[in-house]
Amino acid sequence: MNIFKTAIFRPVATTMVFMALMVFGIYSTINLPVDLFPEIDPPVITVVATYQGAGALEVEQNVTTQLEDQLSTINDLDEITSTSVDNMAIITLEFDWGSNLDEATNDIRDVISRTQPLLPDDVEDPVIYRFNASSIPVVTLAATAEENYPNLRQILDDQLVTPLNRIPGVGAVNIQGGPVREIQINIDPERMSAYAIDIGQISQALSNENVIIPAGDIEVGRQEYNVRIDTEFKSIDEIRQIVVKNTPQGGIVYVGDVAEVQDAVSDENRVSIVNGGRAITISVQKQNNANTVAVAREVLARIPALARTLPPDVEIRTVVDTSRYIINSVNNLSEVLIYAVVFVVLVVFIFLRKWRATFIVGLTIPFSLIAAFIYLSLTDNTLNLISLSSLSIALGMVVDDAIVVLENISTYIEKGTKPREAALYGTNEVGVAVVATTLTVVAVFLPLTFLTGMTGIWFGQLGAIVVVTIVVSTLAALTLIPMMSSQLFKEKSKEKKKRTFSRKLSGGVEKGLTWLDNGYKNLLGWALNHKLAVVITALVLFVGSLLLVPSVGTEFMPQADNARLMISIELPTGRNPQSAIPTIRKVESIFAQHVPELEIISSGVGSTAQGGGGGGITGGGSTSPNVIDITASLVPVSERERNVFEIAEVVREQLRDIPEAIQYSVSTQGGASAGPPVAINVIGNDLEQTAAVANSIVARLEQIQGVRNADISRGDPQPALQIDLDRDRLAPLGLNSGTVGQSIRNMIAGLTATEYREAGEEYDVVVRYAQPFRQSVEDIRRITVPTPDGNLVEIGSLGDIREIYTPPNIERTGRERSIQVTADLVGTPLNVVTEQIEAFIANDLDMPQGIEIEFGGDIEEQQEAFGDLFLLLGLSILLVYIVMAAQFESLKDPFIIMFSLPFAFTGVLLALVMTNTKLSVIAFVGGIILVGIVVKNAIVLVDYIQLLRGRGLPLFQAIVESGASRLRPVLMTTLTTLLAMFPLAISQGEGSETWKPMAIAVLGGLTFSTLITLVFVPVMYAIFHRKRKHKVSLLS
Amino acid sequence: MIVFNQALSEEIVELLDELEIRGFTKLNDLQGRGSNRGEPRMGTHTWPALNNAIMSVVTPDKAEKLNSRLNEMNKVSEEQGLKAFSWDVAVAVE
Repeated sequence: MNIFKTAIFRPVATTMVFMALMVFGIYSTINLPVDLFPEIDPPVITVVATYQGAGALEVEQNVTTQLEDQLSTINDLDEITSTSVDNMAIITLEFDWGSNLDEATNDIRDVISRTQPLLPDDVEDPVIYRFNASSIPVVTLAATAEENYPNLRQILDDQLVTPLNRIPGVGAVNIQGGPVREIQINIDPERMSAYAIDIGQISQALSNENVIIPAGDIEVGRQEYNVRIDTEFKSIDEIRQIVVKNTPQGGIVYVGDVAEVQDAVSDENRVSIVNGGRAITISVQKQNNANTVAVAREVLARIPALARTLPPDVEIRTVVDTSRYIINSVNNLSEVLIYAVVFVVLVVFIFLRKWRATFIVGLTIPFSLIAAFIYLSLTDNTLNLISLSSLSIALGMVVDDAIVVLENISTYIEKGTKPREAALYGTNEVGVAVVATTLTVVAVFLPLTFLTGMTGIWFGQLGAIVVVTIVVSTLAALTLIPMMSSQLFKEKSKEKKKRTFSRKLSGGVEKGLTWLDNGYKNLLGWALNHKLAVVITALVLFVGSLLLVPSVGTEFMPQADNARLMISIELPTGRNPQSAIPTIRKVESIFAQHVPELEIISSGVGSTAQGGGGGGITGGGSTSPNVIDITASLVPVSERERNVFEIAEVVREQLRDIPEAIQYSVSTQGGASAGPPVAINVIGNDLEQTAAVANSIVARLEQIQGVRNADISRGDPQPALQIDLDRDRLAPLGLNSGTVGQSIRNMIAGLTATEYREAGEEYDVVVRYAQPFRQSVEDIRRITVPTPDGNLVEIGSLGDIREIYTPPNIERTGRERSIQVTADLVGTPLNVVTEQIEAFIANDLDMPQGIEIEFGGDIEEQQEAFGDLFLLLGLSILLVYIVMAAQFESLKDPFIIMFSLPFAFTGVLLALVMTNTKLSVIAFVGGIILVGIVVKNAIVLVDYIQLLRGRGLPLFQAIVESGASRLRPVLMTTLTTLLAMFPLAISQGEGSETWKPMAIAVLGGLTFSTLITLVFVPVMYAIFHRKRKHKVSLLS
Repeated sequence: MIVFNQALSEEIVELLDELEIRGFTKLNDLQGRGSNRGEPRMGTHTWPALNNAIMSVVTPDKAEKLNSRLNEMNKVSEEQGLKAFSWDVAVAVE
């Protein structure tokens, strides 16, 4: 009561308060960082342990299981999964949302130190990675070069990586691919055995002769001297001259006598090709709380200057720039928002046809939006797709209150009241109703902020923003609007016969609206006389719409076109990375011919051992040497006709013609959900059985239409040579499996004896058999190991060597072996696939004992999220009822109002089916927010019917009259909400896919429900109130 | 005694000033309804408006003027429902 009175009588103070809000808001807006989504910090911690030279099976048995067993005791652990690949164990620990990850990290550290003694000696210290959004590279660059290629890695390391690292906000800069300098000591085993030395002695000699030892200080007189020994290698030649052994005959054996010393590059583990040239990729990660867009902008701005300092043949290109998609999406959405504002203002103008009134109503828009920005900045959020879409959703509603208040004030002025009094009484009259409708909206949006997990992060922000904007808009409607009206409106007077054209136009619109009023009046009259027919029609419509349910497909999150294709091609196993190059060339030529939209294509094969936990974990590349991973970036959405999904189909079609590709997948992962939509875990200990089950599921998946890239997570077995040592033969020689194994490892994998230092850089000095002596099974048989008494024995005499096949990776879920079947979908809804697979598993699948099947990925996420959302929907409906019942002081009237709800859902179903949109979590939330929006119309209508009945009108007349008088405000508020959403629904730009379903759902639901509400709710009112005598509405 | 829609408050006080009537007693937020037509003024959601009333003791000639001016005002906007009653003052404490 007092708030608007104060506002009207103190216009300067009111203006200043809102000015202050504006200033603060603009300040917040300027400083608001831009991002794609709100900061999502998934509670995932990864532990990586490297065990060089071990196959997946050994890694699994010796490292993974040990770590898993110990790690599984940690508090708040939700799920533990692991992947064991050659050389590496990757254990992923998923915690409950909201658990303290710092504490968890400490616990993990403790567990790891406890487990260390149980692990094989060669396992390097396990490393803990906290997964967060910042581990996804912000910018990926590719460097190509001709003559400088051999040194490229070094050049980049010095001249690019270091300066980039200095940019504020840049976290890690990783170099992948390219040669790494290495000092190789390639032993000739024949000479070595001739001199009767072994590999251990050589490496011992090297490390003993490459030292700096500080020997203390001595004082000579007053001078203090530092005594030191420095025998560090100064040149490669020096290494050749290192003495390995003095022979009993007095001879000296130098390193150069038994081995060739080479300043070489290490065997390349990864081959990268970008736009046809050999390349090195550089991925730039941001620091944890740095802003993606800011970091990317800085990095890309530095590149041209840095590139000039590089040798002329080195070329730097941008492969992936994540900020571009973000900026385009945010710009696109901002545009949508501007259109929404224009539409809303236009609707208000058409209905009111007064510039001043339109201006006053329009004023609430900037203030409400600015309030949202202040909220974002206070809560350390970013300007992202969610906050902007939320604004778009709120936009149509923020003017509603202002419209209602303004309309009532104008009515008073029409009656001849002075503007100030009109403002006072006009606001007074509708103030409570305005607060009531706001409360229903709040009742729906506030629970969204209680959601947890992924959906919580998404819709929590939506809920908070809508609540903040709506509450501020209501405040503005109760203070700013009356104040402005009292100042700007003129008394009803001779404001006529001016500007003939605009008057004519205004008259035309007025005529149209009056016609609409009368038409509606007649319709209502007819409906009230044919109640049964109306009820039956409505019932048929609703039940009929339920029949549409089966034809609405579901998905978790809509897929977005982020202009990137990820292709993975599997070649026959057991090949080295180099042999994949011709295949890469073929793929490049496919793109050259069929995809003119291509901007840059970057391919890689093999893992990056040097990347320091690079490739496989950070999602940067394949881990097996026979899998090619390709990233193709396309030009922005606005510059091409085909979307990324269509292009992916074309590429898939073409890849079929590459004979050496055993399996390939073309994925277009974009949008919010990570990973392929279909993920089914087959859990069981027997590797072969699980593989068989998984493969039969894949076969079934492939029969389902629209399923793409169906695959199992375990790669094809890779050939391995297994040495079965005979203990009975080892023992008499004084050997054991451990020492023999270690020796063989040193000879094949090599032993890093020491580091060679040059110009501040360290290079590994690796001792091992020269290439020609480790090329065949025969060579391995001929490897000799020293016995304790100094003799040399050949491996061939100690055991058998046989060729076996080992799985390249072993995955485990919940400490049990598992295989994940994954697939992408094109057009086919997730629920269809889930149903078919469930039926297949239940009926046709021959399940061996001890095998379990679990749905993961989007299927699991969707089921959980939909469960949550159904609960939320129920909660919203209940809360809205509670708010209304309290306001109307009646249990019956809110119930009547609730009759508008089913038709909102009918509308949603119709809209989804008609636009062929799938029911995703996003569309579902659209349905929930409809609960708050839709009842508003019915509240306005029923409240006015009550009012008129209170004034003594008979039921029939009260309904018809109130219908006629409330039609305009109802249409106006509905149209503003609809038109604010409309640009969101038809937007084609980047990132639009994400929010489209919500806009479509709200548009459909609101349109349909409004049309039905206008007829059905009055009829229901008439039915419910036919017996009772009127009772004065107490909404005051 | 003048009973009028709240909305007319200012105008009436202005009128009193204009006629140099200094003394009055104003009663705010009164409920009521007209004898024949007149919308009820209940200050409720159904009948949101309220009346105010002003009591003023004036000399007969001023009362005459006031009455005629109030009549004019009422004619301009009849629906505002302006009423004035006058009676003799019996006892007064000055």
